[in-house]
Amino acid sequence: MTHMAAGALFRDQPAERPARWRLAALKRVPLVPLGIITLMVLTALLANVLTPYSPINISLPDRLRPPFWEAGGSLAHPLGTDPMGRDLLTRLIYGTRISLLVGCLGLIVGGGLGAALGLIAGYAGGRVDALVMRVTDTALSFPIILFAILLVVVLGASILTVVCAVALVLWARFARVIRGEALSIRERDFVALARIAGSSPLRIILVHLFPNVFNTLLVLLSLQVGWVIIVEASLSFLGAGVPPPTPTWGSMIAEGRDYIASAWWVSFFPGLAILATVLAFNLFGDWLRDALDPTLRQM
Amino acid sequence: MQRYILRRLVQSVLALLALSMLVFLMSRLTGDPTMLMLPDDASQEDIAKLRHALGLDAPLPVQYWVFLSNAVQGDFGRSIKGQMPVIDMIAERLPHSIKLGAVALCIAVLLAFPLGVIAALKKGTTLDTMANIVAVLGQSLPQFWVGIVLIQIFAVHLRWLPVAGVGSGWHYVLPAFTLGWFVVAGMMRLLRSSMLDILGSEFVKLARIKGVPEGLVVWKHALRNAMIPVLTFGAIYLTILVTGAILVETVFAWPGIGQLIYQGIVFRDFPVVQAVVLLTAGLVISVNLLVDILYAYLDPRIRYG
Amino acid sequence: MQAEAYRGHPRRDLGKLHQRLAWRGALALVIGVVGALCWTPPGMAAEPAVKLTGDLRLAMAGIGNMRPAPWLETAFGKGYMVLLYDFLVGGKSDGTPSTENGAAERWEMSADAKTWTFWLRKGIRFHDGSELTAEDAKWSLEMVLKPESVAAFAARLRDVIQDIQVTDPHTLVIRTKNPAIFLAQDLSMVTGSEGAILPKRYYEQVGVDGFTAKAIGSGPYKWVKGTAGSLIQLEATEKHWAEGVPQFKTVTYRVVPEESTRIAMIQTGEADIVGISRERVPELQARGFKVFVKDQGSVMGCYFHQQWEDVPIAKKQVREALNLAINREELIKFIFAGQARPMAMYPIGSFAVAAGGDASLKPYAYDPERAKQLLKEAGYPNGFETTIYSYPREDVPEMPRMVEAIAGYAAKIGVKMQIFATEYGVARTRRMTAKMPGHVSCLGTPNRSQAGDLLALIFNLHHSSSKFTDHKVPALDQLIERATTATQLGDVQKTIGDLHRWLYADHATMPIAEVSTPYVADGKKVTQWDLGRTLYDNNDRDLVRRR
Repeated sequence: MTHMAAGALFRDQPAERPARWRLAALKRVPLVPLGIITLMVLTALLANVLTPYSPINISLPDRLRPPFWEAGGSLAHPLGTDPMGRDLLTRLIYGTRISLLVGCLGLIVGGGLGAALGLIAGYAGGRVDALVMRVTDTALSFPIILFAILLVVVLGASILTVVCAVALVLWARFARVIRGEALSIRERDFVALARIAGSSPLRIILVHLFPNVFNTLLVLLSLQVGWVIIVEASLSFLGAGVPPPTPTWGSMIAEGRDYIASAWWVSFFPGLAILATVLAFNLFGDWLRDALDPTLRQM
Repeated sequence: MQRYILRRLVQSVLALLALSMLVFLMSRLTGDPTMLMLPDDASQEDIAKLRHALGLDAPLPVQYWVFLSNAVQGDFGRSIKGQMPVIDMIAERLPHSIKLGAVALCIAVLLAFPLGVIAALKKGTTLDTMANIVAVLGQSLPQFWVGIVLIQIFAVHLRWLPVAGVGSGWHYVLPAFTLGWFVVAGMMRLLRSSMLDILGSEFVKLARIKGVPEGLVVWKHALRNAMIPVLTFGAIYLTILVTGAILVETVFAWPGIGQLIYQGIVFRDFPVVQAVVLLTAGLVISVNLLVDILYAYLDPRIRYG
Repeated sequence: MQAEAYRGHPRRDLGKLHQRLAWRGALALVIGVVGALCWTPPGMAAEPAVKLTGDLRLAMAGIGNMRPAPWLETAFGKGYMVLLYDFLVGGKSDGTPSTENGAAERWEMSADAKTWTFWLRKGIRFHDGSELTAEDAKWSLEMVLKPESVAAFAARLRDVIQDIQVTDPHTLVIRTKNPAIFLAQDLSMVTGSEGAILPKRYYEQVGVDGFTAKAIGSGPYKWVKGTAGSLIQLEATEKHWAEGVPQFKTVTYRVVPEESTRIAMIQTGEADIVGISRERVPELQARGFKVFVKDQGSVMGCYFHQQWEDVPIAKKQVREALNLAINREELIKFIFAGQARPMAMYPIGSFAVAAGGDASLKPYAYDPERAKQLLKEAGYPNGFETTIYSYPREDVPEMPRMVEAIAGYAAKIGVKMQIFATEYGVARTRRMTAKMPGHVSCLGTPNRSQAGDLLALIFNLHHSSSKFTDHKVPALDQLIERATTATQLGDVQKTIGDLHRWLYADHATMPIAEVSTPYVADGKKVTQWDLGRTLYDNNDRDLVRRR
């Protein structure tokens, strides 16, 4: 509601349909963020090929070896080892897989659900809209992390639980924004024409509304990836994340925090990975928003 | 207008009611607190007696009714683990959370404003990107990690600031910064976009044609108007900061309500979980309601949306 | 016309209004922020940040419930209660009862061990000036025995105690249902907090909430304030009848959940004593801090759950195989930073030798080849799958790593242990409702030196009637009952030795190690501290003793 209001107050011209890639934005394609994202995706896909070590087999005598440029380090473990003796670079590589997996699954489920509800609420209006909005209000007023812990306590910690927790919070955010967009589009002539022509609401939503909110959806998705990765790290810190021995960047940082003064590399490199990836997704999402639909700038 | 307010009020109350039912059920799903309280060798009888003393053996609807009827009178029951009235526990901790949230918001505003203005004025240049990166950085690092690293740098190595707990004003700096940095990006983006919108609007074009100096245009006219959505969002951000500070509270041993509800969940302390969730939800919903009413007042279109 | 105006130029008509609103909003926000900063609710004054001379500040991961009464507090909260209260029976640092520093100056057990008489000292005063009498002792104990009481040994005492009588203001008579030769021990300062004596009249006057807001006891320190879950502050009394004048003016216990923060606090001088995990000891020692250690203070072991079910670990060979698969030396070296010793059978550690433990039993060897052989003989040539529980425990920060290591060792002999990460509540509930057939979970407990405590623990863990047991073996039950019904300490000690050997031969559990508990302290402030062999506390009275 408030997003819509903010936009309404300051919009000088209505959103264009269909949304076009703005030429100016295309000239400023953010190559570095895109590069990082591509690198991460490739790493996730090719993990087995990239490293000979296993990410989960422990080897206590090798624990806490420093990176190769420090005294005591070697090229056998270029970034050092973790407290259980596992190669840090290997765990980082496999961690990419899990972190991106959790992110994608959470976004698909949460975003999909949220977008669907938002579209329905935006199109239907009236009572349905009010109901959906109040439910999302309620969902958003619940502190996120605590909701996740509640889920973990009930279901036990696992990748599935983390994905559920993420999805259950995301849907409300998506629903809100998409509903706002749907509301503004529904008043347009082509939608009215479709209604007069007798199209069913489902058809109108799928054929007319959805393509117009698609850009918003894309922008939201790319902006929330970073958030999901950060939330996964926070859950690991509180003991509610993906359980060991599965490597995730979040659990690696959480694990390494006890060694910040003595074995800094254990949490530094996963921290760097998170930073680079989330920053890349955020900057990419910013550019995407500028390119596709500048009226969303207040998101 | 009144009809709108009434409608929203009723909806908010219903939402709170639904939430109360939800949190009631969910917290009971987490398990049985008596299992955690009594020692290992407690007999079946002991457990039954304790459950009865705590009112946990009554049928669920009865328990819910007891909870609700007491809650509207301000009595949220007694903490199962802490063995004291929940409202007292909250009263001990809520002020600390509010104070921390308020300072965090101030810090966020102090960071977001210059960044947002610079980004708007120098749109498209490197400065814009740089400002964006600084803001987004706060959302690209896990809060607990930022806190731990800041402690190492500013408290342990430089000895400029205290490590943890409450005490003097200096105790606020690190936790409030850690907490506030997270919302800087959102605020900055909001300010930037509304500044851009105003700077491109007819109102500003008119002022420029009239010959008003550029500085006045930017700082007096544009910024003032651009601040409105940011300020209203400020209230919403405050609620987020107050209710979502568990990570910062853990790292800095800050006695806030985040830790309270976390302990409540872990120990299946239903009264605590119910009370804190309801209170924070009530806070958030009321703030949202107020903001929406404000906007409806300013723009009649929304009332019928 | 109006609508046109809105759509095209919303700002033109409302511009001034917006401005006014914006400034009012800004003013409101600023006022709100300043107000919030200045507002302190009554009774919640800012805590002092400056270092008081003679102020001892401890930072721990957890301090129990922080509700200062034995029936409200868990075992982990005993530390500060030892400073607040006197106990019915006193105790020495080595874990034996004492007539020197308890309310009872002597006690006597009847010949049939079913009647105990305690003669209390005269002249002990509570912090409000009233005298401590047998009435207070009786009332305190009865409160502990109530069904709502969460004291650690309440159930055990309920089974033992029949009634409590006051024959004169300073004489207490307790009758037990069965012969109870360990009653004095159970009610002493060295075991749990059940023996603490609280003031009946004051408590009934102010009620439970009034009491927990301002507790009154007769110990060397009195209550100043407390915030549940975060802080307890105590202040020294002028002079205690047994401890004399304490060393520190105030003692502050603070809950700081995050270990790196605790370490930062001692480095900057914000705390004088912190609890840390064993791994961090060498680096802090190198920086010049003093480390006080409760040597072998805890014992760690893992359980094989529900051995009466049709599960792999029901077979002794399988349990033996798993015991042989664990490289305890390596685990101790890397997970516990060498600050532990392998033990022969959990929970009977080196402290228990005086109580009858068999010192000749050697820890199991590390022999993965033989382990694989045993598995094959038991009918599992390709190993099997089971679950191991991992949960954080504030007293054992290494728990998750230990569990990972154990799962790693098991994997090497073909036993795939799926790590179920949860928190203690879930694991404990499952255990008490017998939902862990064939699973493994790990726990630690204080190293017990007194026969009575040890026997009670063994009963809980191994007798078929206990909800925590993994065994339903009549021979084991009989052995345990032989000890619980004995009327002579010598018989109890002998039976404990037999139990020790029985469990060892049976591979009843997976013992890991006896682990030392380190505390890092500011050497200038804390020069001497004997952590002793008492249960669930760190001999806090010795910590604050004037030297």
